[in-house]
Amino acid sequence: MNKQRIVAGLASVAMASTLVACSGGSNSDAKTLTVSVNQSLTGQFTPQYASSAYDQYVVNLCYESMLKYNADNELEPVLAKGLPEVSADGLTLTYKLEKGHKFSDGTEVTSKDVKFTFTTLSDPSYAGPNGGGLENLVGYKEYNSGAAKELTGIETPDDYTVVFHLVSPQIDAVSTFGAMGITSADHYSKYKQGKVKVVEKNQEESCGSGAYQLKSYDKASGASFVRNEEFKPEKGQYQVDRIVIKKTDVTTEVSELKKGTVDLIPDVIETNKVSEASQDDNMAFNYYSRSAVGFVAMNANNGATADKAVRQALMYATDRQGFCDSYFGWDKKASDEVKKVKGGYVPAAYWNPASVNSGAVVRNEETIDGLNTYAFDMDKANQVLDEAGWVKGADGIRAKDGQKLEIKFLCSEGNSVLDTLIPMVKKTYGDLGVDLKQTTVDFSTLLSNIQDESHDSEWNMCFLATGFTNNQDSSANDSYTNNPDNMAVNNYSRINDQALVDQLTKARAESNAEKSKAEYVEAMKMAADDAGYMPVYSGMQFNLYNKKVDLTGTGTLRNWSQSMDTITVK
Amino acid sequence: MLKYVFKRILAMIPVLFIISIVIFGTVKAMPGDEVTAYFGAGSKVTQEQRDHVRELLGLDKSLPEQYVRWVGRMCTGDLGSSITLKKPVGTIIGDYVWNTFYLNVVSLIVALIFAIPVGIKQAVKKGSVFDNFWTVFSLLGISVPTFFFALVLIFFIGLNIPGMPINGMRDTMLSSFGYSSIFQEIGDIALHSILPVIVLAFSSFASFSRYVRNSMVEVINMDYVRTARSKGLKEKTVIYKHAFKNAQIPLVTLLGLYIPSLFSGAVILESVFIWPGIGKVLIDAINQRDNSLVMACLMFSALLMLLGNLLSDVCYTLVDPRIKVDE
Repeated sequence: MNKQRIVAGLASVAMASTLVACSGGSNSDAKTLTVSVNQSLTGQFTPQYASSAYDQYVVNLCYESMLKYNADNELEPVLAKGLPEVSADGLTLTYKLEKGHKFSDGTEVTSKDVKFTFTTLSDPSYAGPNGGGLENLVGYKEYNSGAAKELTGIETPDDYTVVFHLVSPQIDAVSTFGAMGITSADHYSKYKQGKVKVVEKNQEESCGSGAYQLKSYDKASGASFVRNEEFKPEKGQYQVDRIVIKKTDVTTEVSELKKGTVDLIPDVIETNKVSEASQDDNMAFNYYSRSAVGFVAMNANNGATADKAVRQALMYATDRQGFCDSYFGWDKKASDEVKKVKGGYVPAAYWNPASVNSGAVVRNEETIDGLNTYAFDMDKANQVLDEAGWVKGADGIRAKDGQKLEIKFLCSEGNSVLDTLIPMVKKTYGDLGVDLKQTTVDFSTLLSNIQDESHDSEWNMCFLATGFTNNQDSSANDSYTNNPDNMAVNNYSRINDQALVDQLTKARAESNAEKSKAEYVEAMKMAADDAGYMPVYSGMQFNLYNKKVDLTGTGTLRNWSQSMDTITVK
Repeated sequence: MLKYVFKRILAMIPVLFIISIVIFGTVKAMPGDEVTAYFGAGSKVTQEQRDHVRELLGLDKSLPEQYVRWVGRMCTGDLGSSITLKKPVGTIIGDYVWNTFYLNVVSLIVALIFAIPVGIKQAVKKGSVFDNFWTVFSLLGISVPTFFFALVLIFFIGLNIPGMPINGMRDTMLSSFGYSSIFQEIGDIALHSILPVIVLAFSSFASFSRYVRNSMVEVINMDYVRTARSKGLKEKTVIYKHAFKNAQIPLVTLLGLYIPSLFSGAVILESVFIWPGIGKVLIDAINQRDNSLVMACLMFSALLMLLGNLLSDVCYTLVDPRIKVDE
């Protein structure tokens, strides 16, 4: 009798729980979009501090910038009335702000807030990831060192005009200043020079002028958003009332999409996930070119890879097309529609595939005379090494001046790209006479090792992927910098080519777009010859979603969180 | 007894001191750099900014100096700040530890509800089909990795039963936009607990039922049990009132040792079920080299382990009058 009671009691509790839990949730008419992410949000929810792509979703929803990219990778105005006026000498940019934009606390967005945002990014105590590109602002060094009490390079002649003064012309200045999210000066009224902590603390209490406000956040499960009541959308825009960013597991996220517990899985590159979703009648997908490149950095500061010929030979001996065909190939589950899409390609250079100047070259849609793309060619690889004096010994390993051709490949654990790539290069590098030694560490270790020159002796090659958030070429200036203060942190190849650095500096400092493009193309050829970075893949990225969502407006530089004006939910 | 407890607590201080050195040394010996973790992967920052953060975090000091500062802060109740979550470590632990505690306590209760009667019946019917079946079953529970069993449940049960949540502790929509009543919230949490509780209870059941069985097998043939039977007592009374009372002693020890894991266990399970517990936070902190958070979580576990041992010893004296504490 007792046993029966216990069983009956447990069963009724379980049933009651189920009924109670299932009864809620759908009692609201609010249109809700639930987005899956498989990495945790870290709570860095201000434009100054957000670093991961996932935290950046939150910033995009809650903050507005003066300009943002449209689906065609062109900048269009948001807080600004239009694109800025750039002076003939390229040293002054004038942004005119549109009236009527309000922060969630009801105060109006003015030029004071724009200046405040860049002042915090220039602060001596600022130690966040988003202060790059401001060094060329007049007065930055003085304010950043504490020598000046005000950032003189930004003027605010009236509430709706912001003038940026540059030390030298900078081709990417429009996007650098225009695409930064603007924070409220009044909200952080306690800010003083050297006290940027007031912004860093309590980042979950967002006060932006974006269409949404953060409602709740939990590191383990995700975040939710409601409308910013102060935001006045144009008719027909921003029709989604609530947004949930839900943390899911990578192994079950497609199943969750099928089950309906999430509506959208954004920015997918794994073809197996796309295949699985493509055959379900209740699901849809869209896709566009990725603004990211997977690459191998070759350490010019250590052992055999210090020799340019070795780096070039390794590029010839890596069958990157074979890798892309294998890694991005479609499986049997893929629908006929999705099979028409080419998932991945070998970039022509380690450069921004979304670049307005040279993106078409990177995506192999245009060719440049004199640009070596290092197509797979074992004969050429052998020839380069032979000519450089690397001779095969009895053990089949090449050597030069008593130094064996040993390559230490630093890998991060759990990386599916490396699971495909490493067996391929083991074979071809072995045939070439290279002694390949693989070391696998976790990603944090890999990153800190390659950003610290004292670990240079531990690796010759390592695999990484990087994303680009604008349509400019300026990331190349960082990737090849030889400034001793920044080199280890930004230039993973350690290539120290003054002529290339001069060429990149010249290209960035050219305010005429056509001339800048020509200079960057020259730099691209020089960088290819140095062979410091081997581009391995780029390709398409997919958004997988159920059919109650209409996902229009997304593009290479405009993900779902930047497209909420056009996304609708039935 | 109080004097004994006080002495034991005093004895914990040097143990904790040694543990703190081991934890600090191990965490600092891990490869990877906190400054890189601070900025996040792929951040393009200058060396000057990195040096600035190194100074802010006190990482420019020598290791002994860093250790002294860390211990000094801990003694004042300041566990430091998380470099990835930018929050005080104490707040983070407070936010997540109760979710872990809830999951483990419910699982423990469920496991005990099933393990005690099964273990007793196995002992009573030693060598029978019933005994053999549950022996094999409990061996399975001990042998099958929890993450594997969790994935099996997710794929075969979670994804096939409409409305059955496969991860999280609450429905994101309901918890974000408000429950209509407290009962709805309790129901929601109960529903989300079903799969993780089954997995945790399964593995705990396996070890508990074996302990109960073995302990009962020893007790059941003792003279006082035979005496009880010869007095004409009902078999149920003999087993549950006389035999099981003495068979509880090893179980109490086990439960005492189980206490720390109520707060810190289920690290892998929390990751699979995306349960917002302290185990998941610890794993993320290790992967992201958030050393302040890692060290605080490990010290917390060590403290719980010591307290669990003490509690276990105290309970031992309570259930077994033959054991007296040496004061």
